Amino acid sequence: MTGPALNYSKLAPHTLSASQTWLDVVRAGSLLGFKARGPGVGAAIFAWSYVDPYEQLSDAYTFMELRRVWPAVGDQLYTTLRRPILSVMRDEPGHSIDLLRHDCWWPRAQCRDALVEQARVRAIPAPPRRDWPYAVNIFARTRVGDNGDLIDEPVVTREGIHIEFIVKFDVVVAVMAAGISSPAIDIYVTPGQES
Amino acid sequence: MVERFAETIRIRIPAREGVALELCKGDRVSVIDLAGHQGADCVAVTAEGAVSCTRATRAINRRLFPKVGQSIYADDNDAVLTLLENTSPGPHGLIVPPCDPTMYRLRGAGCAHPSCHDNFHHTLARKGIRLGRTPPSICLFQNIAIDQAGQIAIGVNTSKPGDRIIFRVDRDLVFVVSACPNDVFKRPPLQPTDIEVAIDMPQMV
Repeated sequence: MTGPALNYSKLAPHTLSASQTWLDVVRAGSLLGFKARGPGVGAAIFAWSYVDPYEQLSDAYTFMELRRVWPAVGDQLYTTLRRPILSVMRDEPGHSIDLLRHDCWWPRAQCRDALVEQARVRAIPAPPRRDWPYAVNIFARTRVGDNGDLIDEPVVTREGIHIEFIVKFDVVVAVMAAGISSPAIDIYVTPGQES
Repeated sequence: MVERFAETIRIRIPAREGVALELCKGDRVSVIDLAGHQGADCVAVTAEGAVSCTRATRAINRRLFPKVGQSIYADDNDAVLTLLENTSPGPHGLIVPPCDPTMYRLRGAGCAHPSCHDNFHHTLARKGIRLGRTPPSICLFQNIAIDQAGQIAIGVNTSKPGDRIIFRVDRDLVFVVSACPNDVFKRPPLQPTDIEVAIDMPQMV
């Protein structure tokens, strides 16, 4: 695949302060990592196919394929076409990839408004506002109570802990860091063998 | 205050098929499992184009499925349906997507198998509505549970013949109901059965 957006030299590590956003193309086989710079860190992440922005990382399809609400190391997250999009390689806090509540860190509209504009300016393929995906949240956890209530369970984070994924095909990844005074989060992308 | 309804319309949805119904704010809609153990997958699309949303509903209610008095929300975070009554003994689902051709192909049933996915898109298309993607459905009567370890179990639907769930319609919308065609997984009865929808329309004052 060729195109102006596929410029991998741009994928140097990025540090996002609270509420900052990041969006880029990540090629198949790459390692996509997140490193906490301190306690209370988190991020909302979105991912979709570079060639078809309607094929998106999906909570529902991941639940269906995994039959589990908390992905673990070795699990894959799925798209709306039931295709693996991310493999979980590292989750140091454990059970800290949350698909149950999309708004753990940010309302959807706030992420969408910032990231749609970023995609437009950089000419990166992205879904329209109406079909914007729902966030998967990292360094976040929602527990299910006996009566079906959803209960926030804080994830204990500290400086230097990681969550890492392997990207299964060429995707666009969009991230919005949590909070307004949370510690920063590092994002790093390491191209795979086939890159 | 006792609500009065001028007219009740009953629609029988044959097993494996779907219907799209135009409902008005203030209507009352009942989805009835006629034979028991059957699932009904539903989606609502408002006149403004907002679509019922499992994620928004879970997040706003802070629950896996609304309690009586709570609502199903659309992707603009406004309520579309409010749960008035539920006679089914089992749970309902807002977790997994509707069955689709890919699922049936992967499970060896072929991609020509009827599906809630296709029922949604075909019935909405007949109303002139095209969705860019398939929304996760409101899975009525689905026996889904999540244990303390986070494992998702989907069992035989426990609804009995005549069990129903009743919603108040909060906005003008198109309501799609699919009598789930899933006959791939073991469950009694193995064959899908009909669903009935009853619409109560309020008296004009």
